Amino acid sequence: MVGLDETRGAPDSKRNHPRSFTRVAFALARRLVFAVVLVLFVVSLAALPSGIKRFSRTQPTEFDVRQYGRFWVQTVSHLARGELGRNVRGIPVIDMAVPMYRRSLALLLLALGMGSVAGVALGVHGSRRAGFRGGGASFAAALGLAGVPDFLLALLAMWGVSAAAGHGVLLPVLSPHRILSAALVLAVFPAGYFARITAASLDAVLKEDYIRTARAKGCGRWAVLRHALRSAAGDIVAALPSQWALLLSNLLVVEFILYWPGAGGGLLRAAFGTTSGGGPDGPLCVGLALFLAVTYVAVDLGATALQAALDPRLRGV
Amino acid sequence: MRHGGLPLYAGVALLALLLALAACGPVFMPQDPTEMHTTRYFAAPDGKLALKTPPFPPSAEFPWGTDYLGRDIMSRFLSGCRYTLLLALGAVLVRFILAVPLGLLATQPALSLLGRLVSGAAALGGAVPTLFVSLIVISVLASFARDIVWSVLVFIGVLGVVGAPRLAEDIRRAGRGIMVQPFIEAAQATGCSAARIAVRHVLPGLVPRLLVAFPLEAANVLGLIGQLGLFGIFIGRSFEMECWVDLAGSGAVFTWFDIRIEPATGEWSSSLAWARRFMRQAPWMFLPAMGGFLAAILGFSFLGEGLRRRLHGGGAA
Repeated sequence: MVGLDETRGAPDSKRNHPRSFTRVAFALARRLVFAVVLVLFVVSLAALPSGIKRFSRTQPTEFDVRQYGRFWVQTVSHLARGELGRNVRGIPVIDMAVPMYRRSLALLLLALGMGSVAGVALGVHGSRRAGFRGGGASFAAALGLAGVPDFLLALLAMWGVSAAAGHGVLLPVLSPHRILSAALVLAVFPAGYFARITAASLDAVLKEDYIRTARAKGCGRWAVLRHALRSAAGDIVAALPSQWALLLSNLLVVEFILYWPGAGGGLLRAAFGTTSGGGPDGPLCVGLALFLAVTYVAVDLGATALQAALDPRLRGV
Repeated sequence: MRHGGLPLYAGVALLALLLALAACGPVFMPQDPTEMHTTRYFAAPDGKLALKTPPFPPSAEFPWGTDYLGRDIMSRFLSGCRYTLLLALGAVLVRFILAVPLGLLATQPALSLLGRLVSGAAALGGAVPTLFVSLIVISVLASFARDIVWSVLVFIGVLGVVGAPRLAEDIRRAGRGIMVQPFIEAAQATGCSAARIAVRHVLPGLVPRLLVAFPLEAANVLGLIGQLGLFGIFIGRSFEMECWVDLAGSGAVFTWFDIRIEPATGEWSSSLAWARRFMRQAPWMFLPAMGGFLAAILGFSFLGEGLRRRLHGGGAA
């Protein structure tokens, strides 16, 4: 993975080098190796529940290394043939995983969209140098938001949704109440984090000489902020992959507690045997984990490309 | 008030309160946190004696109510504060012990392979939800732990290791910013080894960043401990207990269900594990542990943000 700092220090003489084709091929080969390592890593982790021999209330869990090894080999051979195999009930994993993944992706994108818009707005308002009235309150709100644990919010949302629908009333599985409450809960942490990043970056950019010059020339507050936000956008985009990784972790909790039938809750249910009515559903577990991992890699690559689009110094590397 | 002071003071105040609870809490425990109050008789409206089973609501005898086994929640909250904080701080220490040397050495051009390994490990760690990794790995490793000490070590070790690659990558990226400074070039020209440059020249420049990262990592670990608690993963060994009541001394024994309980540390995540199931019937079981987690996470977050604003002057950290 090419990081921001590695590209910034690249001497200009190396750009557009006659041997750039070799460099591109080398970079692609590195990404390919990383992809293979990623798949093996995910399979190794997600296959672990299949090695658990039995869950018992009175005795420690037993882990069978041979059973785990057999399942690992079987899964890798399936993947080498380009398929995910069938789950413990004989249903093709791809048929189960794709609808779950779609529902999770919709939830994640909704949450990230809501979180980033609210976070940037709070951050701009909360920046000390932007000079808005009540900015301190915005920043305090952002700090508070970033600190509230998602599982607390999810439990409160569960209570709220249940109260709104009437206790004991079963909501439809794909009810709008569920996705909206889940997206709101998931959006809270990114909103707080983006607000902090935006405020910190704006405070740093608004100290620069060119901003002072712009103000001296009579630029209005919003014109100055537009320039400053473009500079600060790099920091916000750079935070996207780490936020996505945190969202993935929170997704498991929120989907599980709010009963949203997505890949996160499905992953936990497959690992702990609540989808198959008994032991863990290893193939489904591996399939869902792979889907989520691929999404993270896509977001990481997208963020790198977006950073290059925003910062001309990073282009052509 | 110096700039950035409010979050710092709020964080220090919250953490001071928690540390005081951790140190002196057991002195103020109204009851033994391990004592189970299984049945209570009370006067029903018709004048007859009626039988009531736990969880008991807040009363003069139990100020915050009892849990599902009739143990006093206030006593368990006060007793569990120190264990929860120690667990979190232990995991953060493991993260720092692993990440700081790796991240520092990875900044050195002579060890570029290590740098790539650290970046790759961080990317792999981000691709799989941290909660899922922790749940699975702790479940599997706990099967090899035969006593409570090993369980604690497994718990702390896993929580530390899952966050170490991301922290090492953050340190590496920050360290590379220092590596382009002229004084590093001077040190290289005088023949300093990579390790010496990392320790003597890069590390001092990273100390403010590490000071900020420590409380933020503690908040992160506490959130993870709470999430694990909700899924029934906490410190302790389960065992089976037969619950019964002797109906009004008549000799007719009524057995209702077997239940598993944990050793009586009162660690907050173990309280959460059962409180979720009784959330509607007995919300008092849920509130103290959740309030404790909220105060601790907010305290560490505020402390980290306050330190960042103080040490970095409010700019981008």
